[in-house]
Amino acid sequence: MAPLLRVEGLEVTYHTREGSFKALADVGFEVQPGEIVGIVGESGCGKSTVAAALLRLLPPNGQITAGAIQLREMDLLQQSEDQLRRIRGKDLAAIFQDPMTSLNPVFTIGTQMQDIQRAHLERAMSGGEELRARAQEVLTRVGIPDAGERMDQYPHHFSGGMRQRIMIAMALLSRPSLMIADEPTSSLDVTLEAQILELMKELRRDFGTSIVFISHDLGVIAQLCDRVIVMYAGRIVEQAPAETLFRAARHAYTQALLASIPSYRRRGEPLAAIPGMVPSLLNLPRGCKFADRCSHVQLMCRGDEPPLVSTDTGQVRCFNPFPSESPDRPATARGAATLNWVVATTGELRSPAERPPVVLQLADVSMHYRQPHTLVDRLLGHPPSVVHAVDHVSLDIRRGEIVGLVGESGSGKTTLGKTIVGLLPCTGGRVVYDGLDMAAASQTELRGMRLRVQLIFQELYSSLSPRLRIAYLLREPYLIHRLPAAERYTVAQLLEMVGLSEEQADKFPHELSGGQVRRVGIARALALRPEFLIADEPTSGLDVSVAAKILNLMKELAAQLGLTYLIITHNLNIVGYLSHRLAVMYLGALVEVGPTARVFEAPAHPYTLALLSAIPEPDRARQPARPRLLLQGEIPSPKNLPSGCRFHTRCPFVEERCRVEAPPWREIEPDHWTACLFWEKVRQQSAGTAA
Amino acid sequence: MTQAAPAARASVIPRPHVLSDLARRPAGVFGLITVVLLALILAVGPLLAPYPFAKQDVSHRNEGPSASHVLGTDHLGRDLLSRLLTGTRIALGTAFPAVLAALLAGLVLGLVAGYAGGRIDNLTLIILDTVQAFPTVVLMLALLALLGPSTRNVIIVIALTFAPGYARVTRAQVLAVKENPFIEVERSLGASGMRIVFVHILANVLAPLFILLAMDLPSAIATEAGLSFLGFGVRPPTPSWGVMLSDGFSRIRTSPWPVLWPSLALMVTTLGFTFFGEALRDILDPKLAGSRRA
Repeated sequence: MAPLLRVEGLEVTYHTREGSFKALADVGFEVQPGEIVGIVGESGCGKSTVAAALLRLLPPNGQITAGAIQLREMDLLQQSEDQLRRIRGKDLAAIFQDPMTSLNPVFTIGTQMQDIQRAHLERAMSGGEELRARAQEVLTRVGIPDAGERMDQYPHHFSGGMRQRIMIAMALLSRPSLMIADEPTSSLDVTLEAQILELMKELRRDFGTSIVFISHDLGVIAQLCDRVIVMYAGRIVEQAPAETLFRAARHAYTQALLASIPSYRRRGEPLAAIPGMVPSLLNLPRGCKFADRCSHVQLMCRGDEPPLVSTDTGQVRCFNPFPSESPDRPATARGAATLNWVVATTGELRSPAERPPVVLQLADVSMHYRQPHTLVDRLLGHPPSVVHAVDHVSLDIRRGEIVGLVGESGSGKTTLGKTIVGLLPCTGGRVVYDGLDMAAASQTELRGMRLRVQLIFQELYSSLSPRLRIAYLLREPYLIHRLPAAERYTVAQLLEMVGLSEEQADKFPHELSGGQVRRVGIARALALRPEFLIADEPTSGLDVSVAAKILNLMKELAAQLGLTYLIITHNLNIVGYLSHRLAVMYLGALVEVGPTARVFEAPAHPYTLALLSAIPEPDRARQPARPRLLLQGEIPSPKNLPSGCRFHTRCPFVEERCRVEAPPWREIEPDHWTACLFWEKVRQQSAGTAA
Repeated sequence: MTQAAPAARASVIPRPHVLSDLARRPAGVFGLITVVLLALILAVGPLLAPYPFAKQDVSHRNEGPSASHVLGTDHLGRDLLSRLLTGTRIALGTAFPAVLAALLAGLVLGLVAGYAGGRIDNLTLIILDTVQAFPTVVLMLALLALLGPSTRNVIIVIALTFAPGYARVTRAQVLAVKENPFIEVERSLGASGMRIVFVHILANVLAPLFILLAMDLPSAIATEAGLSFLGFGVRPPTPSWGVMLSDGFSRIRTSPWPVLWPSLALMVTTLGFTFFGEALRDILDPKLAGSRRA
């Protein structure tokens, strides 16, 4: 079969003030009709440049300097801007990462969809009615409920997941033969991500659309793609069918990427972090671009750049690729080490009497806030609407424990974290830290408590004051609290603690990379020698290999400094890897709490089960054998909580009782709590098929 | 790098090589030269003047440039160069303190209003609105009529009418900056309100004020000129650019020179300060550094 898309020797050059550099070099691949090809790599590896080049939408300082792009018989590089416009959106469609900004906020969805059709229909052959009907049909197809009515709404009426569906619907209007998706699920929750991936698979099945799917997330790629292209420093380093690639990667970079993904299975092992950073494209090494970070680099790697050679299943750019049949990876040889680590750091396996004392106690903590109640609302007699951001959360955390708090966005995780450190008021219940009730504490006691409990914010660059140097930012906690010199770390010590070099002290935050900024954030939190760290999405916005280093660092620090962690994240891989205990939060309330191993292996709440089955797993062979539970819909508004069980609107196990009766919070086995009336049924399903 | 160096140098103060950065931008160089030149004239200008500024030479009235009078003479035969040099001191000596005072007052008001929000913010806005609701000239004239005409009072009046602009710009900036997560991070570290406002927010709102300052300076000079023209500012025969302009303007058909020189001076000053302000902003904003060309 003739390929749908053929890219050959593509080279893209960017001209900047610092000089010209090749963002892509010798990139060649084919996409067959109906095939889903994944492009994966860290940021700065040229993934998005490939997408932009395919669409001929490079920024003005970017230029295609060599190569060919052929869509069927058509040479895309020879087309005029006018012809290209006709091709884009018709044969070629694109979906981008940010669904929040990709739609024009001042036009209704229906108008925008009709415009697209008008632009692409050869002649204005159909009237508004027909265009509308077609738009409605496509919207229904991508899973927008009540598409007919909702077409007259504006983008801000839709949630992020819905907007991404709308983007896909727009791309689908003209039945494109090739869809280019650049990180389409990166800003979505796992459950929504799973829905979107499912949708894309359906589209391929129903319409035979080929998809080029770009992502930094190997798990997502593995879920969706038939063939995977791994890119590094603007080059393709490996290309193979998904199954082969994830089972037996040939290139060292691919292997390293795979080894740096945290997951429940890797508990106890350190994550393999790739040393160094992606090299600057302005200053690439001569030979193999990966040589500086490669674990089995040889002398010849520094000489000439290795060519992309064919293997039995794909291609690899390496002089000395790994054998095609995977040897026993160290990943499988765990067990004892894990157990030791778990026992050493916490009391997971100890009897209750031997456990370390409870350090943080949340008793029935609530954080409700009122939405602004305007005069008009009052005149019209509308009751003030109360947002139940956190609703009666009770949780005890013991000294030295690592507790993971997971849930989709909108479940109140971050609010809970901020309430614990006192940034947000607690409107009900008590936060007791080491015997000290925060509500009853005096100002001095609160200040003391601020020293002992620190929050690491999820934002990267925006969490550091942009006009201050790193050294000042690191010393600032001492300036605030006027600590005696004996209790201070020096800037150099702090930098060393988080693995930064002293040169960084003199820089401004924007001069650092994302990983370095995260380290500075951790260092600032550590400066006051806290005992308890709350880390909000510690790896969000970071590349896999960088995230792995941060997680390793957090683990080392926990052991070194005897820290207790509360890790807030939507990424179950992280907490599955790192935490001793897991708390699952939904719509402001805890729905399940238990030892990580128990929660992962025998979840007792349908929401947990759904989250677990939405984890994109790179290695299909290792996918747990439990049935995938795809959640429908999205998290409801915390303004009007559903009656009865708050999860009943999305629960696949729902029964009549759930709608009226709030499930009790009960302990189903030692230390394992759940809020589900039918937890046994859930467990049967998850365990029954797993066995 | 030694260990002490970063600790000693880390501060809100921008990188030390501002001047060399400035020199790399043509507009910045122009601005810098203008500002330095004006400062020099401010310092030693009257010493350079070939004649006393009020000396009349009735036989050489309304003359163009010549060897004895480099820039020509006005309708009373006074040397224009001498008057221009002396006028520079008056013009800048009034405008600069006035704008600086406006900036400081506006900055404090804006920071407090923006950060505190609520009632304090509303109250401040009402005051600002009240001041700005008056037609500027009428307000100034009324105030000067009350206070009496003098250079000091001109400074006070200009500062008063310019301050609301700075306060508004500052407040708007503060409102945007304070929504940033890093402000919350500081609060979580236990930083006081004073520290947040005067270390973290202040550093982020200064840049646009610089440029406003540089652009307001010429307009303050013009205001001073206007007030002097109306007899509320500098008293004749002391020359200010405004007095010279108004004198020359009524006799423009006889001789263009008395109008030309102060106009040129005003123009060059305006451009110079504007370019200087813009270049300074680009350099001082670490996020913009390198991304913009002057």
